[in-house]
Amino acid sequence: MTGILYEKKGGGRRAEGIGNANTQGILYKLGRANIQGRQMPKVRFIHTADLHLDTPFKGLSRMNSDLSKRLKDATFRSFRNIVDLCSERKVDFLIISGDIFDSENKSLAAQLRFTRELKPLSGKGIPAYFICGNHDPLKSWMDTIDLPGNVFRFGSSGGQFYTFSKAGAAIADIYGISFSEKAITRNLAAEFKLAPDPAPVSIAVLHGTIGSPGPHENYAPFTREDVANKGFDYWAMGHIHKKRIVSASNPAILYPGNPQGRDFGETGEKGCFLVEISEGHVPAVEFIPTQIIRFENLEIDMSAVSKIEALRDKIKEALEKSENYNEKVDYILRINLNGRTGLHKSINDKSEISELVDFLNEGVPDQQYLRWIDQVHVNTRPEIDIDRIKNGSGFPAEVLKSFDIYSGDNDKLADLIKTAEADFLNAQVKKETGDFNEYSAIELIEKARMILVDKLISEE
Amino acid sequence: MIIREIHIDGFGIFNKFSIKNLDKGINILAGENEAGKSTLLRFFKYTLFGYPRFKDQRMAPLNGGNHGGRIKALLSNGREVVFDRKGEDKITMFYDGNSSVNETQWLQLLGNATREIYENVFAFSLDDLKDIEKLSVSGVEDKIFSIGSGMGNISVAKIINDIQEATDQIYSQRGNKQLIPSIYKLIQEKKAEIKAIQENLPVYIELKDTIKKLTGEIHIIEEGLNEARDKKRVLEDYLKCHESFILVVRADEELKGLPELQDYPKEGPEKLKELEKRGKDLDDSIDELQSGSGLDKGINEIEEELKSISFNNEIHAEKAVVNYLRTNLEKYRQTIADSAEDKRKMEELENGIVEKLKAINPEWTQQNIVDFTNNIAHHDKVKTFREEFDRIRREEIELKARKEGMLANAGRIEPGKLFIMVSMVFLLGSVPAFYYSLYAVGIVCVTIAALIFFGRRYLVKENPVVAIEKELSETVIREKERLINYGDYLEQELNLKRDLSADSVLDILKTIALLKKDIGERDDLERKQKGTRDPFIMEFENRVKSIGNLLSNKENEAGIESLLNRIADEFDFAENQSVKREELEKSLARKRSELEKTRNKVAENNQAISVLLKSVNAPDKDNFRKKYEINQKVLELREKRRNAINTIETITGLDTAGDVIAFLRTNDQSGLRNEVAELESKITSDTGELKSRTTKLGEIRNKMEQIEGESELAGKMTQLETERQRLKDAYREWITGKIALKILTDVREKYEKEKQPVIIQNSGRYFKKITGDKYERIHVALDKREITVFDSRESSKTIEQLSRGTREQLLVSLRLGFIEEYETSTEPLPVIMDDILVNFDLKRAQKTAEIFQEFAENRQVIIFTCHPSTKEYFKMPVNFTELSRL
Repeated sequence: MTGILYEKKGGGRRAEGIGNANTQGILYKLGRANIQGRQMPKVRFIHTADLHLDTPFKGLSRMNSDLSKRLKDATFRSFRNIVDLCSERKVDFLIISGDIFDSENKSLAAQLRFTRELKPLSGKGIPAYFICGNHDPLKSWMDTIDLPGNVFRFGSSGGQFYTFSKAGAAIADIYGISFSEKAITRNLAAEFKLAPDPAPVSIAVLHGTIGSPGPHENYAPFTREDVANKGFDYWAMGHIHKKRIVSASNPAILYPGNPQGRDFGETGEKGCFLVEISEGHVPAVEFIPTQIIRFENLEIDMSAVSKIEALRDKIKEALEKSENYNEKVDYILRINLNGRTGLHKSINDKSEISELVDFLNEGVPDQQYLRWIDQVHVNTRPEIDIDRIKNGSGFPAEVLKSFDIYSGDNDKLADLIKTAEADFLNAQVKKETGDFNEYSAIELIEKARMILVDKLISEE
Repeated sequence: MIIREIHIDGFGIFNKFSIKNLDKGINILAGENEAGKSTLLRFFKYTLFGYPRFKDQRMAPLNGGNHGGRIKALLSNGREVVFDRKGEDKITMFYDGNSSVNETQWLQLLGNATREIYENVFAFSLDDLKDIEKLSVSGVEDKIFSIGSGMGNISVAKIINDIQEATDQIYSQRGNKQLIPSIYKLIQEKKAEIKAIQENLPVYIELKDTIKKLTGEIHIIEEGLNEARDKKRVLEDYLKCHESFILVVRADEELKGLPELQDYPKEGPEKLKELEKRGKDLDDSIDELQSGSGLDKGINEIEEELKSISFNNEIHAEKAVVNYLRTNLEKYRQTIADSAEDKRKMEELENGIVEKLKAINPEWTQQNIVDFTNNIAHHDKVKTFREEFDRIRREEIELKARKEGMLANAGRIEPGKLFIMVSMVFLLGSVPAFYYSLYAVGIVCVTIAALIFFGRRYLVKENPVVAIEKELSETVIREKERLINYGDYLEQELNLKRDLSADSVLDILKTIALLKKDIGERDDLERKQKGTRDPFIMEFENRVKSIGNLLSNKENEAGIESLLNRIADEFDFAENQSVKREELEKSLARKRSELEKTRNKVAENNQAISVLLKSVNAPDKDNFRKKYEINQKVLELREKRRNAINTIETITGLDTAGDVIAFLRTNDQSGLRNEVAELESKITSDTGELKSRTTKLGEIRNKMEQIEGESELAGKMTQLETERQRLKDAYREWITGKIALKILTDVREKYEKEKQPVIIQNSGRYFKKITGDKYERIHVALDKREITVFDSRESSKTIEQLSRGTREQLLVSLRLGFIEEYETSTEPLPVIMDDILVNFDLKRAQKTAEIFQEFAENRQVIIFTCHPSTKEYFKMPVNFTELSRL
C-alpha cells in the first residue's frame, strides 16, 4: 500500500466519470511510503465538518418550485450521501468536526434528522464521533436528543478520547473537544494531549481557525507550532468552509469544508475526505464530492456575440469550461456578461434580460440535471466611445463630465447616495437592505452612469 | 470648419462626382427629386462621422467606382484638412502635410462631435419642422428644450420621466403596490412562517418534559388502581362465599343431632323394594300358571280338557297305509282307465296282424314273423337283384337296338378286309422301290404293309353284328343265371315263393317289418297289463278293504272310493285329536315345571329379603327403611357442606375455606358491601383520571410527530433570503435610478441656468428678426418649463397660443441660437439644411432667408433644395450649384 492519493472521482449524486482536465489542483500527492508485505494496523474513516443542516441558501435572486424542492433538503441529502459513503467504502468510523447545525436557526428538524440519518451506521456497526462547533455549541443541543448507539459526542473539557478497536485490538484513539458556548476564543489545540499507552493511530478532532484570521470568525485560533509535536497523526479540522489541506503529514491537518455550498461565496465542489492511516505512515486522503447542487460564477465576454439568442450556447460553453465541471450535478449559476458589444442596449434592458433568464430556466422538460441561472450581471459596454463623447460638447458631454466629480471622492459619493436614499422613507425596509459599503457605492454610480449613457446616447 | 470640396469616387448614384466651389456663407445645392440630394446629405454625414453598420444603408456605388470619397475642408485655425473615408470605413486624413489614420485626431478636428450631435445640431431638415406639427404643446416645449440642450430628437424630459417611472414602480412614497413594498410584505410573511416553525423547538422540548411528567403520574395512578382492584376483588369473593358459608353453618347445626354416617350397603331400600316387587311378581306368576290368564289356559283348565279327548286308535295306527291310499287314489283311478284303453288297443292290433299275415303267406304264423331277421339285409339284396335284372334287361334292349342299327347300315365294306387290301398295296408298292434300287423306300413300304396286316386285328373290330349277337346271348345266359339265384334266394332265405317279383318281395319285406312292429306292440301292452296294472289295482283295493274293516261303523260299501273316503275322514279326526292331546300334554308339563321354578324363586326371594334386613340389623322392613333414611340425610348434609366448602374454595382458592368462614363469622355482609361500593367509586374516578392523562399523552405524541415531520425550515429560510436578495437588488436599482435622476436633473438645471440663457438670448435675437420684430424676446421659465414669447408690447404668449408658422420660426431660431452658443466651445461645423424653406410662404421664406444670410456671415450654411428659385429668396449673392448639371 502506498500513500498516494487516488485521483478524485466525480461525486455529487453518484455520478461516474472523472473531472475534466482541470483536476490539477485536486490530485493530492501526500507523499509515498512503501510497505512490503507486513500487515500494519490500518484505519479508514470519513472526515467531514460544518454540515450546517437545515440552513438556508442565501443570495439567490429568483426561485421556482422545482429549484425550491431541490434546495429544500440539500444539506440533509448531502449528509446522507456521506453516511451512505461510509457503508459503501466500508469505513471504520465517521468523524464530524462541528457546526452540525446553526443554533440561531432554532431548527428542530436539524437535530432530529441528524440523529435519524446516523441510525443506519449503528445498524452497520460503524461508530460516529463528533464535536460541537461555534454554531452548535453543547448548550444549544436538546437535552432530550436521543443519539443512536455508536454515536459519540465529545464534551467540552480536554483529555476525552474514544478508542476504536478491531478484533479486540485497539487501532485508533480519537480525541475531541466541543465548544461549550458560541464564542470560544481560547486555544483549544493546546488542550489536546496523547494519553499514556496510545493506540497505533491518534486522531484529534478540532473546530477552529489556524493561522491568521481570514473572512471567518476567529474562533479557537491556533498555529501550526501548537500542533506540531503533539504526536497526533491526523487533525480532523472544522470551521473553514473552503476545503483545504493545511498540511499533508507530520501531522496531517485538513479542513474538508462544508459538504454543500449555500451561496455564491461557496462555489465549486463540496464534499468530504476519505482518509486511510496506517501506523507510522503518511495518511492517504481522497476527496469525494457529495454536494447536491453546485454554485458557479461564469464570465462571458460579449464582445464577439452579436445575437442574444447565442447567449444560451455561450453559457453552456462557459459552464463546460468551468473548473471540475461535472455534467451529472445540479448547478446554480451567476452569469457575468462583460465586454463591449453592440448588444449592450438590449442586454441592459432589465425586462429583456429577466425574460431571457426565465426562458433559459424553464429548461428542457425532464431535465435531469439543473442548470439554474440565478442572475445575469450585465457589465457590458456599448460600442460607442464614451470618453470621446465626454470630451465633446453638448448636454450628454455635460452629463458625463458631471460624473467625474465623484470618482476618487468617496465622501462626495457617500453624500450622493445619502441624498438619494433620503427619499426612501420606509425605515423597516431600510433595515433589511443594509448599507452600501465603498465597493458597492462605486458600482452603483457606475451603473447610474451607464443608464444615462444608454439613454442619452443612441447608436445607429 | 468650412467644406471647400467634395469628391465622390462611388456613392449611391454618384460616380466620380465632385463639387469644388463650396465656401463660407450660403451655398445652395439645387436639384430635382432623385437628383441625389439626400445621397449627398448622407455622404457628408458618413464621410465625416462613419458609415452605418447595416450594409443596405451604406449607399454602395451604383454606377461604379470605389465606395467612398473625401471632403476637403478649411478649419477654423486656418489649416486645410482632407477627410478621406472609404466605404469600409477606412479612413485617411491629410492634415498639416501629413497623412494619418488616427481616428481620435480626426474626431478632435471635428470638435469631438458625434453623429448625434451633428444630426441634432448642425443638420436641419424638414422633418424637424414637421414634427412640431405632430407634437402637443408639452411635446413642443419638450422639443424646444431638447433643442436647447442640443439633444435634438432625444427628449431629456422623457428620459427623466422614464427613470422616474421606473423607480416609482420599485418604490414611491405613496402607495404600497410597488415592488419593494410587495417584496417586503412577502418577507414579513416568510418571517412569520419561519418563526412559527422555530417555535417548534421549545414546544418540542416542553412536550417531551410533559410526556415524562404525565408518564410518571400515569404510573402512580395505575398502581393505586391495581391495589384497589385487588382489594375489591377479594371482598367481592368473600361476599360471593356468603351463601355457601351459611350453608356450611346450617349443615353443621343439623349434623350435630344426627348419628354418624353408616356404611350401609348401597341402595338398600331400593334393593328391598325390588325384592318385594319381585316377590309380588312371582306370586302373580304362580297364580297365572294355575289359573291361566286371558287366552292362556291355566294348569287346571288343561287337565280338564285332557280328560275329554278320545278317538279311533286302530285306524290312527294305520297312518302310513291311509296316507298311501290317499296319495295313490288318483293313480288308481288312472290305472283303471289306462287298463281299459290298452285292452281295446290290443284287440285292434291282433286283428291287423292276422290280416297282414294272411296276405303274406297263409301258412305263415306269427312265429314266422317273429323269427324273421335281417330284414334290411334282405331288402338290400332283393333290391340288388332287382337292379341287376333291370340292368340286364336294359342291356338286352340296347344291344338289340344296336343290332338293328347295324343291320340297317350294312353293305359297307368291312374294315377288316379294307386293311388287308391296304397292306397289300403297300407291299406291292415296295416292289418297284426295290427294283429301282430305292431300298429305303422299299423297306419302309414293306414295314408299313406288315404293320397294317398284322396289326389289323388291333385296328379293326370284329364284325360288330356278330359281336353284338354274341353279347346278347351272353346276356341272356346271364339273366337266367340270376333268375335262378334269385329264386333260390327267395325260397331258402325268405321262405317265399320263388316266382315273386322283386317288388312284391320288397313289399312283403315291408309288411313283415310292420308286422314285427305290431306284434311287438301288442306284446308290450299285454305285458304291461299283466305285469303292473292289474297287480297294482288288486293291491290297492285289498288295502282299502282291509282298512275298511277297522271302521267303527261297518257299513256295506258301494265302492272302493267311497270306502276310502270314510276311512280318510275317520282317520283325520283321529289325527286331530291325537295332535290336540299331545299339545295339551306338552303345555301341562311346561306349566308344571314353571310352577315349580317359580315356587323356588319365591323361596329364594324371601331369603334375600331376610339377608338384606340382617345386613343393617333391622328387625323388619320399616326399620330397615328408616335406618337408611337417616343415613341418607346425614350423607346429604355432609355433601351439602362439602359442596359449599368447594364453592368457597373455587372462589377463594384451595384450603382457604376455613379462613373465609372465620372471616365471615366476624364480618357482616352489609359492611362488606359498603366497603366494596367505596372501592368501586374510587376505581371509577381513578380510571377517569387515567384515561384523561392517557388521551393527553396520545395528543402530545401526535403533536410531537407532527412537529418531527416538519421539514420546511430551510426551504422557507431560503425563500426568505431570496426575497431579501430581491429586496436588496430592487433597492439597489432604485438607488441607481435615483442617482441617475439626480445627476441628470442637476446637470439639466445647471445647463439651463448657465447655457440656456445665452442660447435663449441668441435665439431671441434671431426670433425677433425672423418674425419681423413682431416678437421681442423669448423667455424660458426653468422651474415651470414653460416657454413664453413676448411681443413688442411685452404681452406674452405661450406656445399654445402661437400659430404653426410662428412655432416653426421659433424652432429655427432656437436651433440657430444653440449653434451659435455651441460653437463657442468647439470647432464649428457647416450647418446643413434640407429644403427648409419649401413650405414657407413667400414673406416668411424671405424673412428666414434673411436670417440665414446673417447667420452665414461667418459660417458655412449649405442648403439643399428642389427649387432653384430658392436662391431668389436670398438678397445677396449666394454660391449656387445645380446638381443635374454636374
